[in-house]
Formats: sequence, structure tokens, C-alpha cells
Amino acid sequence: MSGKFLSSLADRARAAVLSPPLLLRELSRRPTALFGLLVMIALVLVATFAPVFTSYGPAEQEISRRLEGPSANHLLGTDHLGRDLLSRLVYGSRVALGTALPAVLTALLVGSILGLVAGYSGGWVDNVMLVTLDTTQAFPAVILTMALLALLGPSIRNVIIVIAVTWMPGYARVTRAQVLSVKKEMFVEVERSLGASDLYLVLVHIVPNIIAPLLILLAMDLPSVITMEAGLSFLGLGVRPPTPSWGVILSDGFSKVRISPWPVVWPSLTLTITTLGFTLFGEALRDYLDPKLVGHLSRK
Amino acid sequence: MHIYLLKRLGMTILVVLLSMLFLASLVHLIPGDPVKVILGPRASPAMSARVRAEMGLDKAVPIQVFDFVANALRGDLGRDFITGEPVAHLISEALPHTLILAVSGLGLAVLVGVPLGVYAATASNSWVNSLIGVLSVSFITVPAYVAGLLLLLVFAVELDVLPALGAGEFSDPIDYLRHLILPTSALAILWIGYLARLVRTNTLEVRNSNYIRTAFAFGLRKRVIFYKYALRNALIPTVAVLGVGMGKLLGGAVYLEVIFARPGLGRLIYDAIAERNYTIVRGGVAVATVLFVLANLVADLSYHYLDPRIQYMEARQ
Repeated sequence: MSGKFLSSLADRARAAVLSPPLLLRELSRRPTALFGLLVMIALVLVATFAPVFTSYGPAEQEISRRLEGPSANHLLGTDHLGRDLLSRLVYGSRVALGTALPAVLTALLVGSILGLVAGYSGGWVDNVMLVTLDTTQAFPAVILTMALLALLGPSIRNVIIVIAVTWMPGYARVTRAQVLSVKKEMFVEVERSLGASDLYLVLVHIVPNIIAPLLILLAMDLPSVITMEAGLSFLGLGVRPPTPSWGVILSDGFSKVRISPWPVVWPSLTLTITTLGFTLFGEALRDYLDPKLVGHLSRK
Repeated sequence: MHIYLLKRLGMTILVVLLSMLFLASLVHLIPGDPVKVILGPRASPAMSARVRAEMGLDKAVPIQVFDFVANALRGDLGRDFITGEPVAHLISEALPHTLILAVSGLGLAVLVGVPLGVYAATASNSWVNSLIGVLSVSFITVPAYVAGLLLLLVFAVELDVLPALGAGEFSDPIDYLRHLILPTSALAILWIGYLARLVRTNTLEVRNSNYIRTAFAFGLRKRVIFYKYALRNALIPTVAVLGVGMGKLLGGAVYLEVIFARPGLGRLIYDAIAERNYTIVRGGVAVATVLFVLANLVADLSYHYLDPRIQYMEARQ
């Protein structure tokens, strides 16, 4: 990867971070990215202003009206305890974002620090780190998270910790690979020969040049983490009932699937549209921040 | 190739050993009395004593770790806390169901995803191309458990044409296959999308390469060029991806075994977690990990074998 290309990536990443409107304008030119963006904005709005979108509380029960289909009173119907499905899904978006964002950000922070240390130090530190990362990634993700949660116990905090641990090696690897490439660049060598300290080199020259791939990875990981949390909650290992995680709603619906399809249909659709939106947005972000790939694809 | 093979094998053995070490010391990495960590605060004294004895928790930690790794390498993964049955036996009964599900899911994905990808790359109709593009990204974003639940809802509950629960018996292959259709389809959906995309991109990439241009210049038929020359190279990266995919397949299988109440490795771990039967959880995770590492190794070596350019690059380095 040439220095010029990396600088261009870094410029774009800085512009994206410093000027979100510019990034949003670029992204909204593609229909798929626009769809992704709208889904993300809708999810953030729904999570932030949850009470505005529904007149029922997520735990409010009306047993006499359990497992009803969509109606004027309950737009998406009710679950097995007569709770309003729309309101549970709306409040569930808080759990989805409130788990996925801290988990991915923790994985990014810890992973990138480990990757920076490994890539910049080289030698035995790098080798030990590589073997540790290989070992962590040797476990199938879902099965590792299940085993960890079995010991830690199900709770939102533990789900965040476990997902962060499972996702962290990905960030460490990308950071390490980028650092190995950037630290050999001429501008870093020049600064070093002028007497710049390691800390200065890392913070001023290396970190800004490795942000773009990490941002791309972060955007691409968010949908996977949202589905992972919902999946673990579906299995009863993540968020505990009655907290309205989408996985918990799905699990409640599954237990009564022969009586009413709606408690399974709506959370399934919500999860699918959310992951589709986040994925399309992540891919558009990747294409925007990685001009080499865009040129490559546009030639086709 | 031989040096690479040796290095790769060495790394695999090291990673398997380290992951077993990690699993053996996991209960000690979490703060608190390991017996309480495993059984929860309300465990009976009799059960606590049984767990302490079965896992050797009163021995020094390094000895416990060594014992677990040494026994695991000999195929002894401990005993079920409740029934006293060997964990390895429970796993050997469950594993074939999971492997059948994973292989059939992957097989279906290859059968549908690869032709879709090739068709999208060769189709002159941009509308068809876009449709396959949208379909494949939509498939990629459907989690296995959502696909499983929706398929169950439509085909087992509403239409009632396929069985919803269990795996059937090996002695009745038709019945076993009928039980396999829904979970296999649910597992395959993500991979159909993924493979269609990957094969399309690879085929487009190969199509622009010099040797294909030369083949066109020699006047070979388009069909021969695509299916004899282009597809062969376009499929090579797919092999590497399938190895990494084994982890996702095993993860997806856990959900589907729970939803369809099928026996299998995932279901075994899930049930063991519910009854806090930790030796089964640990043994199940160990076997799943070894499977995943081996799948990666096989995929990596096949990739090297199938693509002589990689060996050439290594030789030059």
C-alpha cells in the first residue's frame, strides 16, 4: 500500500470524522446507502424518543388481549402476556444499540491498542500477540460467547464484555497490519531520523493513517453484533426477560408460534431490516473511504 | 510447499494446545470460587462436592490444566455431572447430526450460490444482475435463527408440509431428510448470498485478466472460456472462505438445533448450559474449536494446492 494512497485514505477518514455532512452528502447519492442511512437514522430516533412512538409501556400487560393480531389499538398486535408488540420493539431498539455500540467501541479501543503495540514493537511482542489472537479466533464466535456467558451469567453488561472479547482480535489484526505498513513509510522514517519520539510517531503519524480501515470495520461489525446480541438473548443467555431485547421478544414469540405468528414475524422483520440497513451503509462507507476499491469496481 | 505445510501444521497444533489451555483455565479466570461460578450460588453441597471431585478443583490450578489437556488429547473430556456418562460419548452421539446439518447446508449453498454468482457475472441483462445483487446482500443479512423461525412458521406451522421438531431416525432416511430440509435451508441462506457475491466478484475479476483476453483473441467460444478457464480460477478463493465459514456454520447450527429441537453439538452445549453441566459445555466447545481449526487448515492447504501461483510467490520470497 503506497504512502500516497494511505494519505488519501487518511484525508478522507479525517474529512469523514470532522465533517459528517460531507460524508452524508456523498453517501446519500447511492440509493442503497441512502436506504441504510435512513434505517440507521430511524433506529436512533426511535431509540432516543421511544415514548413518542408508542402509548404503551414495554412491560404493560393486558392479559385479556394476549396474542392478538394487528389492530387499531395495537398496531402490531400483542404477545403472550398481552403486551404491545410495537412498544416492545421500539424499546428493544434501545437494548440493541445500547449493547452493540459499547461492545464494538470497547473491541475497537482494546483491539487497536493491542494491534498498535504489536505492530509497532515487532519482535517477540508481535509474535506473542499473533499467537494469542490466533488462539482467540480459533473458537467459533457463537459457541465461545455461549460458554463465557454460561460462566459469567446473563446480563447486558456481560453480553457487552463477551462480545467485545470475541470481536477484539479482528480490530487488533487490522490495526497491526496497517501499522506494519505505515511504519515503513518514508515520512515516518524521516520523522524518526529527526528525533521524534515513539509516542509522537504513533499518535501524530500512525494513528491518523490507520483510522479509515478501522472505521470501515466498525460499520461492518455493528449489524453482526446486533444480531449476536439478539441471538444470545433468544437463547436465554443474553438480556433477561422482561427487558424487551429483540431476541427476548423473538423467544417469547417462538414459544407461542402455533397460536399467533405475529410475535415472531415482527421482530424477525425488524432485525432483518436493521441489519440490512447497517450492512448497506457500512458497505457504502467502505467504498467511499477506500477509493481504490471504488475505482476497481467502477471499471467493471 | 513442504515448508509451508510444516509451518501451518505446527501453528495448528500450537493453537489447538493453547485453546485447550484457555478452556481448562477458564473457570479460574472468572473471580470467585470455581464451583460457585459453575453451579451458581444456590448449588447443593452434594452437587458442589461432586463437581469439585469430577473436575479436580481441589488440586493446584496448573495440575488441573495439565490433567484436562492431557486427558482431552487422549479423548477423555470428563464425565457428565448428573448422569456420570463420559462427555466424549455424548459428543460422539450428537456430532454426526451437526456435521450432517453443516455439510448439507454448505452443499445447498454451493449448489445455489455458485451458479447464481456465475450467472450474475455473465448476464448481459443489468436488471437480472442488480436483482441477484440485492437478493444476495439481503440473504447475507438474515440471521440463521430468523431464517429458521420464519421457515418453521411458514412450512411447519402454517402450511404443515414439513416436520418442525426432531431429526428423525437414521434408520428411516426419507424421514431424516424431511427433518433436514428446513434447518438446512435456514443455514444455507446466508451462504447462498455470500457465495453468489464472492463468485460474481471473482468471476468479474478473472474476466479482466490477460489470459482470458488472450483466449478471446484466439477465438475460443465464450462458454468454453467462462466455464473451462474463468470459473476454475474464480472458485479458488471460495475454498478459503469455506474454511473460515465453518465457525459461522457451527454457530448457526446451535440456533437451528434449538429451534428445530434437533440433537447435535450445539443443542448439547445449550442444554448443558441450562443445567450448569460444565464438563459437557467445556468438552463441546473443545470439539467445536478443533473442528473449526481443522476446517481452516484443510481449506488453507487446499487453497495452496489448487492455486500454484501462491506456491510460486512463496518460492520467490
